[in-house]
Amino acid sequence: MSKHNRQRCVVIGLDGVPFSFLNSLMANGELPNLRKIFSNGSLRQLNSVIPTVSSVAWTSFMTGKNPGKHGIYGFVDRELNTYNTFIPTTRNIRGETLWEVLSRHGKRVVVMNVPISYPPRPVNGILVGCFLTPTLEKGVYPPSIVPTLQRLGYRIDVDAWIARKSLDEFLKELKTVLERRAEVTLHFLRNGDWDFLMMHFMETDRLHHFLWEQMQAADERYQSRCLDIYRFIDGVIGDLWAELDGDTSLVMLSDHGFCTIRQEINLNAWLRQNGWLKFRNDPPASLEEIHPDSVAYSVIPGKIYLNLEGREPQGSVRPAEYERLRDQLARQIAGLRDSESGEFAVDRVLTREEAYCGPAFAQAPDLIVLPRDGYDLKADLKKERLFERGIFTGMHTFSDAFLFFSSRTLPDRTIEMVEVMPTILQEMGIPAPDDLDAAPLAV
Amino acid sequence: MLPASQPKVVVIGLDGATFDLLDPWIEEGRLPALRRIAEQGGRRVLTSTIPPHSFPAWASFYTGMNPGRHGIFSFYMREPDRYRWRPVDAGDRRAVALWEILTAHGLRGGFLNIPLTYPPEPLNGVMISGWLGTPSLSSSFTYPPELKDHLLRRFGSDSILEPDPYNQDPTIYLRDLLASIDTQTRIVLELNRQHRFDVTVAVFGQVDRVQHFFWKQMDAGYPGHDPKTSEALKTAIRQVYEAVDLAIDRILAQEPGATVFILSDHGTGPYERDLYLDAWLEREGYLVRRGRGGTPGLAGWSACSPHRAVTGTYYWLKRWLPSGLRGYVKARAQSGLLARIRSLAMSPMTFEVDWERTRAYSIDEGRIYLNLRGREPAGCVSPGAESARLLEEIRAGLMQLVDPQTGKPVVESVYLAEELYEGAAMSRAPDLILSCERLGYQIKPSPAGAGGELFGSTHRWPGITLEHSANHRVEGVFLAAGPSVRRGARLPSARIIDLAPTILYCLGLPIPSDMDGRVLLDLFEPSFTQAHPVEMGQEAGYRGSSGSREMDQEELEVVRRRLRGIGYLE
Repeated sequence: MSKHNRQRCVVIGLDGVPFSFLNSLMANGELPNLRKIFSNGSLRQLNSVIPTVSSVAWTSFMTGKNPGKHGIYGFVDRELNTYNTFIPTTRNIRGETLWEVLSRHGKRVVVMNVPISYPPRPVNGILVGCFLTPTLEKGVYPPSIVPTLQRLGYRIDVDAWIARKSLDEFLKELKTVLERRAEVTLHFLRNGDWDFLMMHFMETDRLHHFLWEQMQAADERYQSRCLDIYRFIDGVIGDLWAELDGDTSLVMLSDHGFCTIRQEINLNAWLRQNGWLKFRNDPPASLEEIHPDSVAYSVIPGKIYLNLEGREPQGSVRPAEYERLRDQLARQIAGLRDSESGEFAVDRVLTREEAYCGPAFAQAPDLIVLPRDGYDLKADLKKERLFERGIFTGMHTFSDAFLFFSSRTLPDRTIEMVEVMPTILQEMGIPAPDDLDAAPLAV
Repeated sequence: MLPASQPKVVVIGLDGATFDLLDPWIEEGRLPALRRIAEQGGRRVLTSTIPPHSFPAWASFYTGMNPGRHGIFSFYMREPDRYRWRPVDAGDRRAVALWEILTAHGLRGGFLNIPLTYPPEPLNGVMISGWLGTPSLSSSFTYPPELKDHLLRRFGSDSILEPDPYNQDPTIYLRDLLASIDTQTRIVLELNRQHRFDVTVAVFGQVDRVQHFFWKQMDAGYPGHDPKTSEALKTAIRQVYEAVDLAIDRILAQEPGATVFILSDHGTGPYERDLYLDAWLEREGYLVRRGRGGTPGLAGWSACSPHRAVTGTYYWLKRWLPSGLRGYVKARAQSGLLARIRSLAMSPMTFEVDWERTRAYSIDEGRIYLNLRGREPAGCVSPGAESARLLEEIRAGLMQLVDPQTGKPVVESVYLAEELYEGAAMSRAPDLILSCERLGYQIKPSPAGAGGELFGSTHRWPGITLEHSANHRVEGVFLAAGPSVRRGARLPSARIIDLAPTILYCLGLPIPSDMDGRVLLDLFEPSFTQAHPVEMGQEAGYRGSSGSREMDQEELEVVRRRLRGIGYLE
């Protein structure tokens, strides 16, 4: 790698694109551009984070830290010392993001659509908020580029509710949103002054939630349009690659993989059925109606909290009993079986100490349930059924994301999400903050 | 970037400075730098926000908007859906700040020690959060973050932030104030040297502090003034004015061609009596209490007590510790004004209120809120006709209030929110705002043991031993000088919201069309204004959403729907 004055980096996020799926597509002759690009660098399997949701995974990507340090434990989290749930935003992210570190060092950044990036924190450059942005006007830094985005027809996110009406219409909408996003990416790539540019494509995740099973089964009603999404992305990356000069490296990654849903499991229903959780009213309007005798409750996905005295407002679990009850609960959940097939539904149950460490540890759930592939964990308070299947056919997986670096050879092993940021910083010649979870990946 | 012929802009804030003191001391030749500026340029009264408090005033300064638009009305904000208040921070503002506009245009700025700039934000340049609003020395109060360590190493920890006024011997406090002016000046000089800032803004809060605590000592006509006070304390305020004058001199010596603005966010003057507004509201039956002396019921409120205990311990330790250890203890124990505000907000007053029967309440100085249905969690006053009637009734009652000791009215004006403010952040506004500073009254929460009295003369804020004898006024100061500034102009008063657009104008930038302030064209030579017409730009915009922790209801619904759409939320 030559040393030039300006080491630039482009990062493309493809949400929820599995390593295995990419490889099988390429093996079938699809994705010619990606195949060519991947042959010029290092493609590896990447582990996601726990819980395996995009807001947590991308926040770990952008901070180089586990949730115990950055404080984001899900799309939804429980506010400490209350039974209130809230939707974490950038206000809840502790510490600096990759783009803030780069900004500090005078690098100009263009960052678009990476969860979580609403509300936009100022950077040395441009930041377009992620799909948690209510309106474009509120989600962009600096506000002066809103007209440009509007002119290019940029859309924050596809409206997933369309899929409930018609998968055909949904696919059409999805393609439109994807096209606009691609256009904006190329616009800033060509016209902006930047050292670091990142665009995150959420469309693949949306596609997989509704159509994963259909894609695996090559369902002919949808297959060509699903593949069309991938082919389009391949074309865009090809165009993008052609614009890059020798000083610019390309990084691509996803935040988790996907698999077909066999059952959705309602952990709060399980807790209620097994005597760990009860409510004062039936059906409860919210967690706040929890009965003080409850031992544990759950927040999506797979987060379990003990109803701890001194921490929870109606807590009744005494600190002296915490570990014993927690162990008992963990063992019981680990034995959860799919009522149809009889198979175990849970891979592991981790304690908070096993999963997290850092200043945001107090916010962590007491237990975190890692499901086996096919078992999507939910926490609905109003539904009583333990097992269900809904409109979604795909769910996230932990160990099947992918990572690609064009400019260095990565170690021959599965990479961890927290290793990516320090490596990008090293690529760009920027010293990493000293509180990151991992060192840069050795060249 | 600036064309070579465009001078840079230096803005020096003297928190709370007033012409009542500035003019005579300039006359006496004690403030040569300020005298030069007054002679070479223009001077005018600068009107603050109403009420003239530092947080809303400085936010108005650095956004060019009125509080109805920038959303900072007070030191506190009520958290959504509960009767709990927390101190505001810079992230709570809803309008774009000057440094964001500069950054977006590629200009560099140093924003140093401005109140309500904690937490510091990434920008093109440097930010040091002002003491007022920074929790403590151990907070990360600089951008870039590493600057803090550099400052600590280079300048030591004792005086880079203003001293806390708690439990301090007045002589020691004055000494520490003066030391911090010197240290902060040296920091400004060093940063100015290292960076080519297009704008430097440096605020000296010490002016406000010394006036609060040493007015009585200075003013022979003040009731209770002790003629036997030491010379040092009698001249305390003047010493601070002289010290900032020297600071101004040193800073401007570095920037000979700059346009300079000197301003205060509000004025100051003596006050004598306290009005306990919450006691009045209770007496009139608007505020209902459950009964005094109750223990706090909510978990987590006890967080305020460690701060008291720690600060008290620090004071004791400071007296008895070997001097080598004092610095360490101070750094750890210094809890800052914010902790004090926090403990004020969680005072017995808030615990004891019977919210279901209370129709109006007041938490923060001079602001009254109705317990409004649909806004407050247990609101019992209906919006519309009922609330309008109640507001009128309260207003009329307050205007008639007379202090039995003087026989004279206490309240100068009572405003409705929409009489003072307008904009997208009005949902945070108080319902009524009192003005009584000019009549010599300060509004305080009734102290424990006040026995329902409406008036008092404690001259003490809770937790602070130093007495205070001065209060804010709406009339602050503004002086300007520079290559294109008209000489010797005595101009009609301007508003604090006019500073931001005027600064942008000096830098050759367009003025956001949604700024409430206007460019003060009358400051400049006609030849300059003719050659540089004001350029109006797009809206600066609405920054983020309400509250530093939660989205507002509307935004939450949009986002919840999206999450539900993909099954991430039930």
